[in-house]
Amino acid sequence: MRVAERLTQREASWRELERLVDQMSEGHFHRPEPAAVLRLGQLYRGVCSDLMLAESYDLPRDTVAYLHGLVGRAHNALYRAQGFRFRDWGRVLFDSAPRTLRHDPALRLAAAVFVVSFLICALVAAAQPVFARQVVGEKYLAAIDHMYSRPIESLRNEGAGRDDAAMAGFYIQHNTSIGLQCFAWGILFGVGSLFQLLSNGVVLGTIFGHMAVSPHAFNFFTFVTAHTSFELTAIVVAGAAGLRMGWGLIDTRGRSRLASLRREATRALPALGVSVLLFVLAAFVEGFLSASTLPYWSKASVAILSALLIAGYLSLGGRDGNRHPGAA
Amino acid sequence: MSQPSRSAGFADPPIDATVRLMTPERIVFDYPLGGPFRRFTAYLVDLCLLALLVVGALALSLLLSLGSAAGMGPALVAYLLLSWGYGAFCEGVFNGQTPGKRALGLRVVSERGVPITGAQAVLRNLVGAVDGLVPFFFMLRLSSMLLSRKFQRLGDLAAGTMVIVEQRRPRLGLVRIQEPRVQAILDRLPVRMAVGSKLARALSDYVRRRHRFGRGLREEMAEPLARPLRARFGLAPGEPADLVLCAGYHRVFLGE
Repeated sequence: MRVAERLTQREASWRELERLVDQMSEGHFHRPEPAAVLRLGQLYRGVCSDLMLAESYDLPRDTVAYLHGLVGRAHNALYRAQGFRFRDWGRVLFDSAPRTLRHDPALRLAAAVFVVSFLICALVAAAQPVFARQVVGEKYLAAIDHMYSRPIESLRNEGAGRDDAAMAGFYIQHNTSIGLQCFAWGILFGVGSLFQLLSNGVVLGTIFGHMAVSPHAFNFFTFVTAHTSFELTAIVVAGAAGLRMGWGLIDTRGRSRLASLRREATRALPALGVSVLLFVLAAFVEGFLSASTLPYWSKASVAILSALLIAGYLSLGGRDGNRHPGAA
Repeated sequence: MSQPSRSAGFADPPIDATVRLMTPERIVFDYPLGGPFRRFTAYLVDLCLLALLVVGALALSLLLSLGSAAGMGPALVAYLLLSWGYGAFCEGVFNGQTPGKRALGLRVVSERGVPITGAQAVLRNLVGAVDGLVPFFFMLRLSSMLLSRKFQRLGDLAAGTMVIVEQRRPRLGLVRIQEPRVQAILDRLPVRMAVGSKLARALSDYVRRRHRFGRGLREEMAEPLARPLRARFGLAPGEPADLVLCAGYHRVFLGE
């Protein structure tokens, strides 16, 4: 058969396939008709075999290039991204995430780095007033001192431009960004996450230590107590996720460095989800409860309750799934 | 079927920035990779769109809260979701394309050529934050793209994805040659001409491009191929090489 005859013979089905692919990629939101999908599959197989036989058919180079493009587009129309399944997310967050976190050395390392730097800086800052000034800077420290110089009650009575919803939004945005960056920097062999953990630990510890011995200590603790457990855990978990990803680049366990990075990054994602969840919880507590005029004992009990919640989640979460591996 | 990679059109992988994929149907085909410049343009488009969305969310939130400060809260949450989730959401839901990528014909696929999963979309965009937030770190993104074989930035490397160009090529038919002298040569060629696929491709390449060259250059280029053809089919040695190839093309591809 001559090439010209073959082309005229196949031309119509290529055009039809092109039209179908265009239709499919236009309509993201309504499902394509079953008949169209079936026809697409048929035509796709046809054009695939055309491409495969291009050489023995002596097709001109331009036609082959056209076929490559057409097969590519049809392939992407046929095999589509799965999107997000939120039921899976729930299972991951409450079943497999706590199970992996429990045994994750990265989490222990992240917690150790953060807690140790926090405690050391808090102690030093409490003992040496100069330390805080040097670490966080004179200006910032003065701003913090000013912020907590008056009790929350007096601020609220004046209605000094504070809005709970706005502040909750601000905390969610600001803190979650910090956490996500803490994770993302892990790609630099984990050093980025380590640095973020360390710097957060140092700055927060210094401020804690400084405020604890300042005359406004009570105002400070009334504000920060309630959301501390959620927020500090969130930072540590995000840093642990970043460390896990970076560790994948270092200890490849027999894979190529990239494949190992890929595996560990995927495994770190559930922890990151946990961290985001904790950040959001912390922000709501911070926006609506920490800033309220409720008595200190109620805020402290919220802090203890949330700490227990986290401890329970990490130690007990996903245990049920262990016993019934089939029930997923 | 036994050797799909050889029967996919080009015998050797081209030196171009393309990637060769094998579909579940065992068909091998080539994709051009998305380079830094096209991707940067797509990124700018997305950035503009993102800015519009953020402003829109702010306006909506302020409107719903009747202009009070409480409106800032949802607006900031929207900003967080948009700035971190825009790319991941679009790529996960719209089959690997953000609006900017769609406008420039780019698509994110996994390295094996199959569509990306939701986790991959999230990962490549989260890690992408490292090489995109600070202006200086564009260097990180660019150098990662240049150092990796498939123009992958760090997010792509972590998620195992790559960006390809989906092209819509013009469907080019065969070239018709209406020259009386070609017809004269055609009459002396056999009706069935078995030339083999290599020569056939060379003929089609030549005829497709010959209109760009002058007469002298055409003769010079066509001569090495025309000489054996002349000898094989008993054509006169004085027959212009250009016309001999045209006639050969006509016979092989168009028939009649």
